[in-house]
Amino acid sequence: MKEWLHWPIAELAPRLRARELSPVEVTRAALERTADLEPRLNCYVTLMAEAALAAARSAEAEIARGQWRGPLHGVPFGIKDLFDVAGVPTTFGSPILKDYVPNRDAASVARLKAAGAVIMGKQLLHEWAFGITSNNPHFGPVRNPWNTDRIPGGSSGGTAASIAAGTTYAGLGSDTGGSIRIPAALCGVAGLKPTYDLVPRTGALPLAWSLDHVGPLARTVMDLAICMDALAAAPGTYTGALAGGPRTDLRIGVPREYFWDHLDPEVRSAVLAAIRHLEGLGCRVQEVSMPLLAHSQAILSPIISSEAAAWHEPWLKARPQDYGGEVLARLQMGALLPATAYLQAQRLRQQFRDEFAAALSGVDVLAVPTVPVPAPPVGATAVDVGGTTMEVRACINRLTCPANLAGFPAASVPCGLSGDGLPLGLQIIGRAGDDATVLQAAYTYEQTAGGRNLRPPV
Amino acid sequence: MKESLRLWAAALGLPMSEPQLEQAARNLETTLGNLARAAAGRDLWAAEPPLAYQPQAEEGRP
Repeated sequence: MKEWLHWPIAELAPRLRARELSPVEVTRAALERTADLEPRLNCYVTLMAEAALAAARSAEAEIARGQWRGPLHGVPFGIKDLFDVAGVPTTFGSPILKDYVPNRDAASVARLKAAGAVIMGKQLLHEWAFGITSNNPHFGPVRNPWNTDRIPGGSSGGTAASIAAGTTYAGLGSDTGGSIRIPAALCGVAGLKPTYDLVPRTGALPLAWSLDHVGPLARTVMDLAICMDALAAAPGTYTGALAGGPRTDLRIGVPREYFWDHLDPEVRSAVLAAIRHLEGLGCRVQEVSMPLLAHSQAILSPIISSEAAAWHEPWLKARPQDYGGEVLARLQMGALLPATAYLQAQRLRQQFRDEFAAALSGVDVLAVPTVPVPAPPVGATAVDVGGTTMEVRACINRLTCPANLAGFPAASVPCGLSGDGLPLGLQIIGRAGDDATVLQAAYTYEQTAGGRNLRPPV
Repeated sequence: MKESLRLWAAALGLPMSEPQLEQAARNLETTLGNLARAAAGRDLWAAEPPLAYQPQAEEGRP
């Protein structure tokens, strides 16, 4: 395998620009590695090999003419299969949409293409993005490159697994209850759920419109910033925010409640060590309180189920047999839920958001775990969390869904490995619109703690 | 609850088997119970729901 397949974009891009490496050479190597690993990892629904090579040749020619578009130019990039790419099926992980071929790109995909990214293909996800294992009943399970018996997390499972495995440098994901940050944490890569609507949802098939966020996954925080410069159509904004290097003046809030209740001891130890590390750099750490956190999932559940059921209604009536049992049960529950429950949950959500904003008024960011446990085995329905048995889905998204309810930006950055060699994630949450500070905090940890760009054994 | 759900599902045109109705009943009971506990003691009318969170016409759809 070529060593540069595991480089961050920030290291690859100058070599592409200087023509020391060719986009065609890099894309071809990424495709060869994909062919080698795909039988074990199952990251793709549709691999776009010919289109990727054509885009790479075009990038190579442009760079040779001195028309370098920026750090994504000629870089192999993955797309979760719920974003429209013109001329390529968008399955959303379901056979119901197997014949749906959009005729235009999602807005986010168009921005990536304009930045010169080489689209490698459409990547496998949890069925309809409504779950966190990426164990898809129609396309099979995506597997974790750190241990192929483990889940990669989800719903953006194929996207995170391919970045970790060195077959793409970054990817486009969506996050409704943690679907960017969960697979980022479990696969040992970085992920950002930006502020609600910072990246447009146009051409992204929805799970639940008031909770859906579009954002990047990548190997490093700087690479997230490179992606955000393109995705938010704000050239230089996010990379510029990191140009000053690590920040040691951050005020870091640590919630007293909820985030520490049901936690694997190794996760607790790693995240507390990360917070102590930031404190040791000079950051000020203080406790904050958010009593409604305890009800995060109770508020999220009626909203996500109702909105998803509304979107799925025609197929719930006509094609229920084409759904996996787990997702169908949640959608049917959403279809039968009283409208009053949805509305009351939205009212509670506003109070939740106000409480969250108040907690963040005296600090720059919150630092908490991303996922309570390392990656569970593929097919597991329950997981042991520090001596308590929990249902896998309820456990895995409990620490990420609060930021979806609030609509606030949240990143996950690797913070070490478990004793079994599985990645663990530190989550940084910030104020609405303050995505740059979230990236700065994650970057500060990543750059000073020495654990960046983890590499799995595959 | 299951009998009510059977009528409600039929009215909506949702084909659901007995096990699916039973599952839905369990899920609804849990969801509504959790929501009631979250709302207990709170004035739900103290804050307007977030009107910015509306479906977007330009969202993806097949």
